[in-house]
Amino acid sequence: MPIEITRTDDPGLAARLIANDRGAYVMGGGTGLMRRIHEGDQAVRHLILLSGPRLRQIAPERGGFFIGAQASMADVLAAPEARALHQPAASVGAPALRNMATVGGNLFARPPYGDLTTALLALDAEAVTASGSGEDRRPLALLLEDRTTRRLVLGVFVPDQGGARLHYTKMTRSHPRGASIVTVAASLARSGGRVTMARVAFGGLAGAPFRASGVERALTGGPLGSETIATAAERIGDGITPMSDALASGWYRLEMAKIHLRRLLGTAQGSPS
Amino acid sequence: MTTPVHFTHNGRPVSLFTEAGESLLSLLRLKLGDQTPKYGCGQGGCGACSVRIDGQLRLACLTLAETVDGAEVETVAALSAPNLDPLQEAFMDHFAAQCGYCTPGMIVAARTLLDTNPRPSRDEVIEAISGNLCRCTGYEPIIDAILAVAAQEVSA
Repeated sequence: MPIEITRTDDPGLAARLIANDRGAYVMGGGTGLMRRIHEGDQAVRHLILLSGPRLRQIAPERGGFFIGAQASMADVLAAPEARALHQPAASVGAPALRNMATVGGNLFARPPYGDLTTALLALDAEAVTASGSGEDRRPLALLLEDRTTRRLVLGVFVPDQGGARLHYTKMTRSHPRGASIVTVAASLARSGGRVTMARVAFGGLAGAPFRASGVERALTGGPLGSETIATAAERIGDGITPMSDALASGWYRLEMAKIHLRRLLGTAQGSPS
Repeated sequence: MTTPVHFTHNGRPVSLFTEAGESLLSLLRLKLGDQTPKYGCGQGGCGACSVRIDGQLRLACLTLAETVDGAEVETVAALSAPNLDPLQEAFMDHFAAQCGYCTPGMIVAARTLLDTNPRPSRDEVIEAISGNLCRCTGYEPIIDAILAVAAQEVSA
């Protein structure tokens, strides 16, 4: 079936098109959609080529910074404002792919992809969506959970992190680059030797990246000791079904998630905040 | 639905029609007859189709043909005119090509690296070609060839 293409710089039009047609997709860098077209995916029927300066923008905004949905991983790596996301962005693909893959595309990437999104969840980012002629913000976690309403994402807003620090790791089968077996992002704030805030997200583990509330509860309130870390790691599997694919079984992914969370938090133990 | 696209292919202006959903790779190989970028996986995993668009390394198989309207597209063929690029010479000298399928993509990726970072470390070379699969050489001769050109271009 032929694919329809719409070129526009009107976010309102793009928002209406994707809301009314489940076969319509806004084209980012093409790393997800072109792949689906090559695979003969008939669900992709209408590509929207949306342009506009806001979509490529990376800039400070009150209380944090904004990244446009069409900013590439390379754009993120070149932006000093987005320093918190440099390690996750660098872990996505190889140079050519990073020049193409976009932040907006990463939010909707098919699992096990979505490394940047995993970090954005741990940073408590908000999705900036088109609403009428203006913009609306909602927690990224809510946007990812609600896959029934199709909204146009203009970008993400990353709030200032205060004293919290992001710890990030990605496990792959091939080096230096590969798809995620499991991606772990943990943002921790500590005061007086105790963890006062923990946001922990996993990617590659179970469908879309998600926040692990059981892990967060286990980590919050006490010192970041080995026992706390071990207890938290046992909570990763709560309420999820780990995914199996050609790279790894669900069982293996969950076991690796526990190991990599323990290692990541083990290094956080020794770090200043 | 066909759409006209105009762009520069290896320095030469071209105008042609693209089908909706067609990739730049298909446009280059089937409509322009430039067979140097290769079709490997069609998924962005192998790098055999690496080209430069406005100087930036990209994967032609994942690039929607319509999006290169007005752009400068360069394939490895641009590097060999009129003489071979030093990278092409070095790939021969170091036996860095066996079946040759990955070579065009490898050389475009390596040239992009050396244009922006003339004295890369070994790790930077590995990073630069990390999206280009080679199933013949084991990569070592390729890395050696790129480092040899870097040393030669810096001392020249």
